[in-house]
Amino acid sequence: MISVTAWEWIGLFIGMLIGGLAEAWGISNPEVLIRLGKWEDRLFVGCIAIAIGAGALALYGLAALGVGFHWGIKPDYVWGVALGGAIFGTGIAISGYVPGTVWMALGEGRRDAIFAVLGGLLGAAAWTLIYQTSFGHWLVTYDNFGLIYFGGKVDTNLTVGFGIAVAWAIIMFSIAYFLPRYKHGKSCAYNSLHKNTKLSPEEEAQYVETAGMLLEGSSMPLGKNNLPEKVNYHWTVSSKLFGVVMMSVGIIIGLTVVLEMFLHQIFGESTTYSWIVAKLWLPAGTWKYSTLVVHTIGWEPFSDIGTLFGAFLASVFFTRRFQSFNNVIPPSWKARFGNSQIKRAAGAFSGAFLMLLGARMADGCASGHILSGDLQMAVSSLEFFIFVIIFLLVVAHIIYRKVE
Amino acid sequence: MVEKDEIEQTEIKREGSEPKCKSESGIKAFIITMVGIVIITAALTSGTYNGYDPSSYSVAITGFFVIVTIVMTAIWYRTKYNNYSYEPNNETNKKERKQ
Repeated sequence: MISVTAWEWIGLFIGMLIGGLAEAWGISNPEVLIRLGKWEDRLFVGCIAIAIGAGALALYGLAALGVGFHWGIKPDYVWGVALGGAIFGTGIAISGYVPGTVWMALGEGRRDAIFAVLGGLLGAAAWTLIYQTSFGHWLVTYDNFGLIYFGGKVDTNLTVGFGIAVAWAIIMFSIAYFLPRYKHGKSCAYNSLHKNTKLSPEEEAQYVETAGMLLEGSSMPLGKNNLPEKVNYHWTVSSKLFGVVMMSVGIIIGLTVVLEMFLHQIFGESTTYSWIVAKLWLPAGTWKYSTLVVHTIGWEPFSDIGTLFGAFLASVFFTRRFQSFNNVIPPSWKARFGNSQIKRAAGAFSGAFLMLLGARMADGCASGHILSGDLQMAVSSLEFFIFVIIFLLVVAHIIYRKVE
Repeated sequence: MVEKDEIEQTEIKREGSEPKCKSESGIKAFIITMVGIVIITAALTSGTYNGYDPSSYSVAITGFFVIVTIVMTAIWYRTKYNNYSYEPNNETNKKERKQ
């Protein structure tokens, strides 16, 4: 069996690559996830589906051939994962962030990300406190089916696992192919069958609006006829989720996550919040959850720094969306709650609090569960995703429906 | 080619409203230098350790250099472009969509 365990600081490069690519996608902008909650822009779903499909094929194909991986699959404790997913989805709807995009947004110079980091740390601390109680213990032990994926126990039945991965990848690629990115837009499937179809006026307006939303608050001129203009006005606004650009980025992200599992561990973002809490406030030795976290986190703090730094570099050199901490309020939030900076800061703080509380309760977030876990076909991660998407859609509908 | 026309029009509008690009070679050289410093700092302070309990000092000093880079860059751009902040003309877009 081929297996390695890389030096910890190598995690910096993994984070930089994923952070840079995700910033280019635009998901560091909270409006993107709020629009997903409103079911207006499904960019995140399509891109993650491509990453999951490509990654699952590579992971189980290589594992079946004898390559060793640091699986780090998440345990399926049914109630804790479900409740965590529900709280996490609610937090995304309020803040527009997931733990990884908070770091990316900070790298992009977004002001409200500062409040999201603080809220996230408090949310992680809340879980460290709850974990110590009998309720916390019940959540992570009751109906706990352990480390299981669609093919059985982790790292077993790998040939069968590859067969399931093929079916899983077909489902994931079909989502990207048949799901229209924009509300009232057309899917890649439709476009490939109707070659000469022009964009509808609704879709044209979506392109222009999305480009404007992504660039809003940028502290630097974009310039003309250059790469950043192409990125912002053509590539990242494209409705072709299954098109060359979106698919390439999705595949690179999926393969990078597989590479990370080969080198050291799965790709995660939220444990670092609990690690910071353990180092600054609730020390290991006294607090059980802090003890668990500091001895198992691995290179995640480095990959999180890499995520932040990669998004920063992309926003200066590639997309020119660096905001220098200008006052920017996501359009959906502005339409619902007005232009108040204090209200937006409170929303980012409280949403991130819920999001991190849910993530730590479920033992993973959008990176650890939805990207890495669903790529591994972990049962817990599929359950987590289902609860997150239900609560994200319902809560976003409740919060933003008056604006419609 | 309606799609191209609309996007091109938006680009032209934006180009007219934003300040002229100035030389950014100084800040970009600084950022590239800091990329090297951040990587070297992480490598030197973490070394060949490949376990699962990272050194908090190594993480803190690496993160500190990243934060310094971001803050210095923010100050530089704010000064260079006089607190410029891009505002898309959303109202115009909405009107056009209704028509």
